[in-house]
Amino acid sequence: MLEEMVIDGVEILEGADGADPADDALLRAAHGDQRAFAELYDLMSARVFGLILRVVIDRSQSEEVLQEVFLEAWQSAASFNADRGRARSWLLMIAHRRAIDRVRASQASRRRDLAAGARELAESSPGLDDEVELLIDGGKALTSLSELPEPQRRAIVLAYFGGYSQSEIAALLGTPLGTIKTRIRDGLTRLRRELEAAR
Amino acid sequence: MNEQHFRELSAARALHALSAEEEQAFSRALAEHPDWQAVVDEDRETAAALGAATPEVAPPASARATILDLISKTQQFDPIDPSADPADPTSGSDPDPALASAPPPARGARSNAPAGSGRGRRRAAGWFALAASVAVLLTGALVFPWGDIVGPKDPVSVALQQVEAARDAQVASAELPDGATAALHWSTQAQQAVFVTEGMRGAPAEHDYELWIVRGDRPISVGVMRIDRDGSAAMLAPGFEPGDALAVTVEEEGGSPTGAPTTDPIMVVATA
Repeated sequence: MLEEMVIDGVEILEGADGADPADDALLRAAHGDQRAFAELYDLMSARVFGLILRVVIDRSQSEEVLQEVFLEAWQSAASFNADRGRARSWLLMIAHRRAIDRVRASQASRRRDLAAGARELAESSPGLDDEVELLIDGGKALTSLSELPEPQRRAIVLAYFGGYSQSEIAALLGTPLGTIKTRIRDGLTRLRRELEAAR
Repeated sequence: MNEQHFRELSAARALHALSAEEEQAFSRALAEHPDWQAVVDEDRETAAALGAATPEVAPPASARATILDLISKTQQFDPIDPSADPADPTSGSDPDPALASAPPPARGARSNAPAGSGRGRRRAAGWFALAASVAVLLTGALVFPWGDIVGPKDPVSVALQQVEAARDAQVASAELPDGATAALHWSTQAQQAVFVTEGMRGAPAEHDYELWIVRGDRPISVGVMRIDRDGSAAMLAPGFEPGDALAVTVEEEGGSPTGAPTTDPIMVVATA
């Protein structure tokens, strides 16, 4: 019933019964259905690629990560449990983890490049405030994020889009680690409430 | 662990912002309190909503064919018994290294490791005695070439600069027979500690170096330490207290699966 709905570049909302077609596609892909997996790709690839690109920035690296994400989704499709969340959340979680891994792996080489004398690179890169702003601009679609108190928003944006760990954020902001943990917890709780209210 | 503490871990975990040590604490707590799974699921959905807030970008058309071709040649993992791993819905999702043709190593492997097993604890008891025997202690004046070589928004750099600026900045270092050096730079005022190594060879194939804070005879994982092509590495050592030792062991890829060192340290920096 879904096959004819899946057309490249066409926005597909919900099935007639209110179900998310991505859930259905992933459940069928878990049984080895490659056609269902292609549907999942068509439904989700632009969403997944947008997230990867936001975190990784570099386009060719983002394309590599995209491939890793869908390969992992194929291999581990059986671990998706529809009672515990949506297929799109499951897939975005994998995409986010893979993107963060990629960013962290390249941190070491970035330091090496700087050590090699590319000082101008360091001097021309944006300061932390600019960076947070840039990251938030990318998340405009989610108005709930902009309604968070500034310290909570900053901690969440640095973690989720910047790829920094909590202790790194504490170091970057010169704020105690315990405070950062509280901000992330409170910020996420507040986000969830706003999302639920928006539903 | 109380529920409030667990909720903090769960939130940061949904953003992939936990250290390896926190990841293990998270898994242990969830194994003890399966009813907290609802918190984890909820946080994951919220984090996914953040991810969905980024603008959609269509990948190049060629990516579709490449991926569909790739999966047609790749075997899926066997369906997993859903009760086998209540700790983590995504833990089964790291590719089996034998099957994965994609290059990056799986990193979630340690997230559901049973840490602090009896065997690990027993091993840890005699562990620091060995560690101390290879330690070379050199506490002295501070020389700081590091601030210039790392980027301005690099957390390690920021921490090093904060240590440098602090009045109570200290450094302890150690040297191995093969010429590799390690140093811990710390300041109590700045609440920062940074571990820096130079001249290290990369870890053996399919292994990683893991850095530990050793307090008394108790090792606490700081995380996997990756060595640059030029043989250096710099890592934050959050939670360090003066008197602790820092030690490096060789562990399986992704870090010790038990949460305790499985080999004797190759390098130790003592601060007491």
